[in-house]
Amino acid sequence: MNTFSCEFSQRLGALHYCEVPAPERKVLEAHIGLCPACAQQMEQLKALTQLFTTSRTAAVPQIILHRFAREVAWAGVLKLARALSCAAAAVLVVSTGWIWYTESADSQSSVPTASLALRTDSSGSSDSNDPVVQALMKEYGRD
Amino acid sequence: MIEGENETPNESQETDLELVAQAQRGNSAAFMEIVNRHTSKMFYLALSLTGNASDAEDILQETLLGAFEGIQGFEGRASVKTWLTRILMNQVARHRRYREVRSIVQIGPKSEEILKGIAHSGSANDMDIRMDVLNVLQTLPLEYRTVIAMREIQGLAYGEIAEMLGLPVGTVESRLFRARQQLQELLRDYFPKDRR
Repeated sequence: MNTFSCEFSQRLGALHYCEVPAPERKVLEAHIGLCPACAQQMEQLKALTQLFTTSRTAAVPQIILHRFAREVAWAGVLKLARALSCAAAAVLVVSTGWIWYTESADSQSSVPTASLALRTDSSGSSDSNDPVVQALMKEYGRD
Repeated sequence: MIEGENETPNESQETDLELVAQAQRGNSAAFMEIVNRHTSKMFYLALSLTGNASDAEDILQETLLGAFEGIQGFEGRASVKTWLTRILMNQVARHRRYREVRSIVQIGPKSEEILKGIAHSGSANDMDIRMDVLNVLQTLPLEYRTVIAMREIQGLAYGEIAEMLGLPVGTVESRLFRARQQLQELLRDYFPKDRR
């Protein structure tokens, strides 16, 4: 086991990883120059990092990258499809509104006829005081 | 920068951020470039933490999907590497919870499974080192394995590790110290001979 009783040993890792402030760094470096055990420990820390550097690049199974690239491509297609769906929905809403509006306008234009019908009493005789009714009756030849 | 570190954070970070900006504008090729840059170490980190190639593959897949879905929310406060590692660590934790719920607890490392995930490229010596390091990592307690993998594989700073794991920096430092002690003992053949 690489344990030794030097008071600086706990901070050597931080020094190795550049995690100590500059003043402490100077103190530690000066100490390492005088302490063979700490110098040895620093060598071992470098060797450990070198081991990981050698080993850490594991090739990713290509199937994962292919599968993911496909997902990304599909995401683009889905985004386009979503945009098209939104556009289609918007067209549908506008069309429905337009149809509703035109039908409503048509029904409003037929109101005078309806009101004319309403103005006829139950016996079939018309209200001769209404000028519109009179004009229409005159036009169609009814007394 | 420590010896052996082959990254140049300033340059690569800028480029990563540029790629992220392009990916956020819908450029999927830019996102794939980010993936190509970082997946190798992320896969090795997942492999180190799970000790199982198929689990590591699942975690990596979920991490990449999570990153892709969350790319619009990336604000560039941390580096891309830190952001990806955070997603990966969340996936590892989720995977571990799932394993616990399902009671599919793997007892001890399965070398043959680890082997499946290791690159069959590079020299035979490099492969031996990978196998030895991965196998030895599996013998460490989880808390030690996690911090040493985050430090040595991903190159994260103490503060970043502490933040991700929700630990004080001092705890991270002491766990790293103990993890290194154990690794130095277990991998002693790779280290300079003690001259004391």
